[in-house]
Amino acid sequence: MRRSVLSASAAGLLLAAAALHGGQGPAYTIGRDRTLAVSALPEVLSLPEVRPHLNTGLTTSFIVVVKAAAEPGRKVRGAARIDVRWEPWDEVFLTTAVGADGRVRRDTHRSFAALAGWWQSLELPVALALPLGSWQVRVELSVIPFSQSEQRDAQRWFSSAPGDDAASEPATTSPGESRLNGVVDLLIATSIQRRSIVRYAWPATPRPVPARGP
Amino acid sequence: MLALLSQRTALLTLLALAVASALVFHMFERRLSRSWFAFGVHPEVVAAVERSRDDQKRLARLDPRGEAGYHRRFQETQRLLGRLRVLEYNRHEIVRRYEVALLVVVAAIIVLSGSASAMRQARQERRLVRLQSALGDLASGQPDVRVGERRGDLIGRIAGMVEETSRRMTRDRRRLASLENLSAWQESARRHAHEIRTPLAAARLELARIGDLASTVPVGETRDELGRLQVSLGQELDRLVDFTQRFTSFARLPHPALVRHDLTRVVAEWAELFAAAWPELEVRFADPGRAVEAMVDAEMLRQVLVNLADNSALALRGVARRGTFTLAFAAVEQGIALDVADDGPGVAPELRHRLFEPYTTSRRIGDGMGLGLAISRKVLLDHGGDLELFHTSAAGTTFRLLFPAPAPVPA
Repeated sequence: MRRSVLSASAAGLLLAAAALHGGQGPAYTIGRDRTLAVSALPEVLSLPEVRPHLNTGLTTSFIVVVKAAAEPGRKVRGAARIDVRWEPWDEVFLTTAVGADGRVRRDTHRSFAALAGWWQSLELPVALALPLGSWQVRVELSVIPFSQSEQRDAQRWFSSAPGDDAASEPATTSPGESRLNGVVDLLIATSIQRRSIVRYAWPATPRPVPARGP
Repeated sequence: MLALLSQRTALLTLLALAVASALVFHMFERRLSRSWFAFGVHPEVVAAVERSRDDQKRLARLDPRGEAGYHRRFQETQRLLGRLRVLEYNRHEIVRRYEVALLVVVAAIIVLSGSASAMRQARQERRLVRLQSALGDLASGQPDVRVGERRGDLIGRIAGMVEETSRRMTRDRRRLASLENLSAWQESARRHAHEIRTPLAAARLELARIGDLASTVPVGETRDELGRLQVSLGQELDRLVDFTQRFTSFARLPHPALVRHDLTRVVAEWAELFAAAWPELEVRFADPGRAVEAMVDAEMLRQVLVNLADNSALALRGVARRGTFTLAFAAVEQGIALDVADDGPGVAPELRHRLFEPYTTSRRIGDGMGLGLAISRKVLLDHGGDLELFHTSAAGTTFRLLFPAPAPVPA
């Protein structure tokens, strides 16, 4: 898994480089209220290192981290999160996007194509009250294959399920061994952590703020 | 010896490592390989669970009335799948943690084993140094060497042997010194007896001549006076002969003829025979009810008991009551001990340290030469045993007669 993460990261970086040359990188806008928003995220959903995770039924989290830098030495970090979960009963993709403004956008997509379209049309506020200046913006995207609640659920389940040894093997499990098993369960449970399986990074290009309608 | 100890320590360390590793691997195997974990995350299992989940959905379509139940089971299966996938995502991290935990446990065991081994080694070295020091003392001839080791291991056993050797050497040295001392006294007594016997014989001849000459003197007062003088001188010469005889008997003390005897029987017979020999004493014997065999010269042993009883009777002469003279066997680590106790006034402190030296007596002049205890001790030493003043106080005195244990009778 670690090897696949590394290769995926390398692929991500390559993709970022390709996107840079082809003008396919993300864009950013700085609104009149000095909100930094990211849009036109590269379509990573169909990449082989991402696509299989989208259909597991687990929540795939896309963490968008934006690093903005301006002269002289000013730096701003912003972030947003996009959750995608395939609901196998209804056969729909459920998405949740949370931006820096705290607004939660929930949508349902009937197909992967619809999800991809939604992804590309997505505009996420990532930083508020950006100071005036000429900003260089870099976007990083990390993919995490399950959510925090799913992690907790798996930890609880793994910690409790093997404990049924006492019922299944009452004669072979001594109290001392049970204590050791408890330690082992704790070790396993705390080993279950959310880690990104792939990470991408792109420089973002500015996009003019659309003019307000009459 | 150190090499042996090091080998043992190394073996113990290896054993501890093996046990710890086996335990950790057992846990590892039990929790990761043998348990459902490895089975559960297997792709085929995951695929089977997925099919099972999808079957619920198909069933719901075919049986819309039971949709709620199918949906519930679908969700449950989906949750299980999700958990399995979460585990699959983290499997390598879990294994890595196990490996780290294993390394930590093994490292801790090695450190603890090493520390325990070093402490044990240091303790053994300290014990060996003590043993070496004791052996040095033993080699330099120091008496009553003590190592202070009470454990039953090899070092403890060697320490016990060193102490026992020291005890025996000390006892033998004391016996040898006593024998040398008594031999010197015996030689002195022999010479004195010889020197006295010659003029004594001449004096007796001269006295006989005086008697012959007196018979030629006319009957009368002078002749009677000469007769009385002759008798008186004769009595004095007899006393001198008796005195010389005692010197001679001490000087020519025979070597005991050792024969295997039942000491219980010998002592019981003596107690019965001499029960009325001393009006001041009531002789008692605590019969153990079993045979106590020893190599003794029964006649000489009887003489020793007589000497001790004589001393007790003399000591009780000034006491206005009848005393007791008790004989009883005592339990000792090696050999046989016969305790002879009286309830007399005890031995005077100034006499205790030289009680067994010849001519040591508290009696007035003419009541004895103080040879009884010296002779008795010589007899016991010649038996390979000893005679000790075991206890003395105003409540009485106990002498301990020690005999070596007899060699076992061949079957």
